Amino acid sequence: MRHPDKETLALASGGDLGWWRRWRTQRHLAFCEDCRLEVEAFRKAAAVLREGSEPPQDLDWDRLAMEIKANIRLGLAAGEIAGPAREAPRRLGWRAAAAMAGVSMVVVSGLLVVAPFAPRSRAPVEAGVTAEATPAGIELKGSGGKLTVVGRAGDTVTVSARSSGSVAARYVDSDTGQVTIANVYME
Amino acid sequence: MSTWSKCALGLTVALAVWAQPRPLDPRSTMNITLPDDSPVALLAADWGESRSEVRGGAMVLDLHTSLSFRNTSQRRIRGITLLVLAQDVTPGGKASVSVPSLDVGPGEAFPVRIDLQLLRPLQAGAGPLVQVELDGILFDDLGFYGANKLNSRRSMTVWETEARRDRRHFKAILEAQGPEGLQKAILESLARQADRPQLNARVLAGGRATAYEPAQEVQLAFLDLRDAPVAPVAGTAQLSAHELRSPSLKLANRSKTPVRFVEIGWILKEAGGKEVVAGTLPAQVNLPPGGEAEVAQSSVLRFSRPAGASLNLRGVTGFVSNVEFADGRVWVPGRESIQHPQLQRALAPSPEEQRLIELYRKKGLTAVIEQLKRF
Repeated sequence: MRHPDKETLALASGGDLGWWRRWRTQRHLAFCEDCRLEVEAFRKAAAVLREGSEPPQDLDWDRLAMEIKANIRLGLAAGEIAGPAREAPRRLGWRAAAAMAGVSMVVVSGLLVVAPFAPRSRAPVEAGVTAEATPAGIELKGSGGKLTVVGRAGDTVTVSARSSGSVAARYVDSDTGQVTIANVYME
Repeated sequence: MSTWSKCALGLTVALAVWAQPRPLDPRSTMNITLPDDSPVALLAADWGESRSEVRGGAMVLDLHTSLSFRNTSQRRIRGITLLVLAQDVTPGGKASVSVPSLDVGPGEAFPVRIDLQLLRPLQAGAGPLVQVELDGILFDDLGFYGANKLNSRRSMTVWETEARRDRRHFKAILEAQGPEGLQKAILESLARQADRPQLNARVLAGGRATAYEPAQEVQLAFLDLRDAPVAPVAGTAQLSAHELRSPSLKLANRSKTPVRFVEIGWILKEAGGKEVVAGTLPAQVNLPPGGEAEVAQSSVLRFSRPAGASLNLRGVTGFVSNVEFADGRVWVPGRESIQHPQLQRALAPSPEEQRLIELYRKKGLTAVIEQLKRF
C-alpha cells in the first residue's frame, strides 16, 4: 500500500487539502490505521499550539492589517531597488522549442480530457467539498469545479439545506404531478 | 515522428477514448436490494440513459432510471425512501430519493424516478457500481417498515402530517366557501410561491468555515408558535454577510411528552429588510416534559443569491419547524402558525400543497376537488 507523505497528512489534519487530494486521502485513511494515527497526532499538536497562541482580546485587527499591508508594500519596493541585475534571457534552439511545444501539447490534451471538473471562476475561496442547493438543483463543488448531482430541467423545484450536512431538492414532475425529494449527504 | 511522440499521442488518444461517457449495463452495474419480507416488489427497472464517465481518478455515474414497484402489503402506502449508494466514504457517493404524498392501495403499482449523478473511485473493487436499497415505507396508519438508516421514518411522517394538515385546510375552505373559495386559496398559494425568495444554500463537508468572512455574534430571535411543544428560550450564532455559523440555543419542552428530535428553521433578514427561509438546524435532543436542553453545532451554512448578486445578511430568526416525540409521533406547525406574516411570506409550501397546486395548474379545479374527496 502506498501511504500519503507527511505533508499531505498534516494538511489533511487541518482540512486544508484541495478537493481531489482530500478525497484520495480520506479513501486511504478509511483503511490505514497508521496514517489515521499520524493525522490524529498532527491534530493534537495543532490544538496544543493553538492553545498557547491565542491573540490578546484587545488586539486591533484593522491596525494590524494596515501594518502588514504597509510592510508588504515596503518589501516589494525594496526588492525592486535592491534586486539582482537581470540577465538577458538565453535563447533556446529550435529543437528544444519544438520538443517543449510537443510536451506541452500532450500535457494540456491529457488535462483537458481527464480534468475532474470543468474550470470555473474562483470567486468563493473555499477548500474542501461543498454541496449547494440552488433553484437549479444540487451541485457538488470543489477545487474550482462543480458536478450537478441533482437537476431536472422544467420541473418545479424547492431546495433546502440542513446544517447537519445534507441538502435536498424537491421536484414536482410536470407530467405525472408526483413529488420526488432527493437528498445528498455530505457526512 | 519519434517513438516517444507516438507513445504520447497514443496515450492521449487512449485517455480520450477511456474518458468518453459509456452506457451502463444494468445487469452488471446495478443492484436493487429488497428484504425478503418487503411490502413492495420490484416490477421493472428501466435504466434508460444512465451512463458512466471517467473524470480524473473518479467515475461519475449519471443515473436516469424509472423503477416500478407493486404494493404487496395489505395497507395503503403513503411514502417511500430509497438509499442510492455508489460509495459511502466521501461526499458525492451517497444520496436518497423519497416520494411522499402517495396513495397506493394493496396490489397497485407506482413509479419512482431516480435522476442523480454520483461519484465513485475508479479502484473500488468488483461488484455493482450502484446499490439501491429500500430505506423505508410509510403506511396510511403511520406505520413504518424499513432499515431507517437515513431517518426516513421521521422525514416521511413529517411530510404525511403536513399533508393531512393541508388537505384538511383546503377541504374546510371547500366546504365553507365552495369551489370559488378553494380556487381563490389555490391562486393565493400560487402567488406566494411565485413571490417567495430563494437563496442558494451551501453546506461545507465537515462543517468547517474556510472562506473567512468577518462575523459577529448575534442574539437569535425566535417566532413564538403557540401550538409548538418545544420553545427556543435563547440562542446565539455567528453571522456574516453570507454565512450563519455555530448556532447555539436553549430549548424548553412545553409538552407532557419526552422529545427526542427538534428541527429549527432559519428566517434570514437581509440589509434591505427582505426575509427568506433558508436552511435548518436538526438536533437530536433528550428533552423530558418541562425540561430544557442546550443545542450547539459547529456547522456552517453559506448563502448566496441565485443570480450572483451581492448579499448582506443582518439578522436571523428561528422557528420550530418540526418535533419528534420519544414515542415516534411528530408535531408540525398548524395552518394558523404558518399563516404568521413572517412565515407565510418566506416558508416553502409542503410537498402535498405543492402537489395540489401543480394538479390545479395541469388539470384544473375539478381534479383538485376529486383528490381532496379521496382522503
